[in-house]
Amino acid sequence: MESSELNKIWQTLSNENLIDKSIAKENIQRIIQKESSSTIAKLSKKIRFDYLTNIAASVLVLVITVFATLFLNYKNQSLPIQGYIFLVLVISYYALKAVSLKSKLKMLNISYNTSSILESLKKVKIRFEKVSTKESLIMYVSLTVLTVFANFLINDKTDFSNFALNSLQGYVLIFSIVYLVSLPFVGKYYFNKRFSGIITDLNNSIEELNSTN
Amino acid sequence: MNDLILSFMKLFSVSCNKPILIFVLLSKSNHIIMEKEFTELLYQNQGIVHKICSLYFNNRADKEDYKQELIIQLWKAFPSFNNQLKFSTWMYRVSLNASIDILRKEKTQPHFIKIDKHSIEATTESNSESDDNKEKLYRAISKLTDIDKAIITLYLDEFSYKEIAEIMGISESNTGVKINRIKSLILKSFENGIK
Repeated sequence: MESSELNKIWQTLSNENLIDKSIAKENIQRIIQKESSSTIAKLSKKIRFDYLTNIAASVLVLVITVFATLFLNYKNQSLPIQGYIFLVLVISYYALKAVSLKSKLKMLNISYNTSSILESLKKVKIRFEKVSTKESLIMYVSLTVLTVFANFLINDKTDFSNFALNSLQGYVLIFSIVYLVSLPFVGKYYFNKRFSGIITDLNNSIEELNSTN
Repeated sequence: MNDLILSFMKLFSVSCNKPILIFVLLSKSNHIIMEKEFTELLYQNQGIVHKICSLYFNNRADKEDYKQELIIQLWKAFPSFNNQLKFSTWMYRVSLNASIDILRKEKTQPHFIKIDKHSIEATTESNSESDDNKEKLYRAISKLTDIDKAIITLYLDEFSYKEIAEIMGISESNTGVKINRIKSLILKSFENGIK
C-alpha cells in the first residue's frame, strides 16, 4: 500500500467518522466564557475537598489544644506532656497532608500549551520538579522542627539530668534520629509512588521525542 | 460580573478621572474583538478539535467535555497567537499539547475516567472495503503512543516536515525518520490485519 493511499483513507475517515456535527458559533462563545470544562474540574474537585478537610481538621485540633490548655490553666492544672506530643503530631499530620494535597493541586494546574510538544514536556517536568522539591523541603523542615520541639518539650518538662535510654526521653530521641535519617528516603519513595505514572510518562515522552528512530 | 465592574468604573470615572473609563472601554472592546476573531477562526478550523478528540479521547464516556476543554485551552492560549504561524498549525500545536497534558493529569486520578467501550466499535463498524480500511487505519493509529499519534496525524493532514518538526520541537531529519517508522508500523498492521 502506498502512503498516498493512507492519506486518502485518512481523509475519508476524518470526514465521515472523526468530525462530529459542527459546533455553532454561539456555542463556541458560550464555551469560552467558562474557566474550565468538567474534565479538569472533576479531577481537582476531590483533591480540593480533601485539602480543605485537612486544613479544617488541623485548625480544629489546634483550637481544641488551645482551649484545653486555657481551661486546664484556669483550673490550675496542665495537660500531660504525652498529650501535647500527641496533639502536635495530629495537627502536623493534617497540616502536612494539606501541604501535600496543595502540591498535587498545583501540579494539576501546570500547563504549557503554546510551546512545541518537546518544549512543553520539558517545562512541565522542570515545574513538576520545582513543586515537588518545595513540598519535600517544607515537609522535611517542618518535621525536623516538630521533632526537635518534641524532644525539647520532653526534656524541659521532665528532668534532663535523669536522662536514660530506657525512658520516654530516650525512646523519643532514638525514634527522632531514625525518623529524621530515614525521612528523605521515605519522602522520595512516597513521592515516586504518588506520581510514578506522571514521571514515567513525562520521561518516556521526552526520550521518545529525543530518540532518532 | 464584567458588566457590573464596567458600570462601577463608569460611575467612578465620571466623578474623578476620565482616562480610567477610556482604558476600561478600550480593553473591553479589545476583548470583544478578540473573542469574535477567535470564534470565527475556530469555527472554520473546528475539524482539528473533532479529530484530536476522536483520536485521544474517543473511548471516554464524556467526550463532549474533552472537546470543550480543548476549546477553553485554545481560547486561553489565543493571546499567544501571532500571524507568523497559520492558525491551523497553531491550533494543532495547542490542541495536541492540551490533549497530552489532560491524559497525563488523568493519571493522578485514574478512577475518575469514565470509559465507554462502545464508542470505538460504533465509529469503526464496517460494511465495505472502504469502511474496512478506515477501521484498520483508525485501530492502527489508536494503538500508537501519544507522541506517534500526534506526528502521524499531522503527516496525514498534509503538514510539511518543517511544520511537523516545529510543532513537535524536533529536527526535520528526525521527523522524517519518525514518520517512516510510524508509516511502516501502520502499513504492517494493514498487511497483518489488526487484532
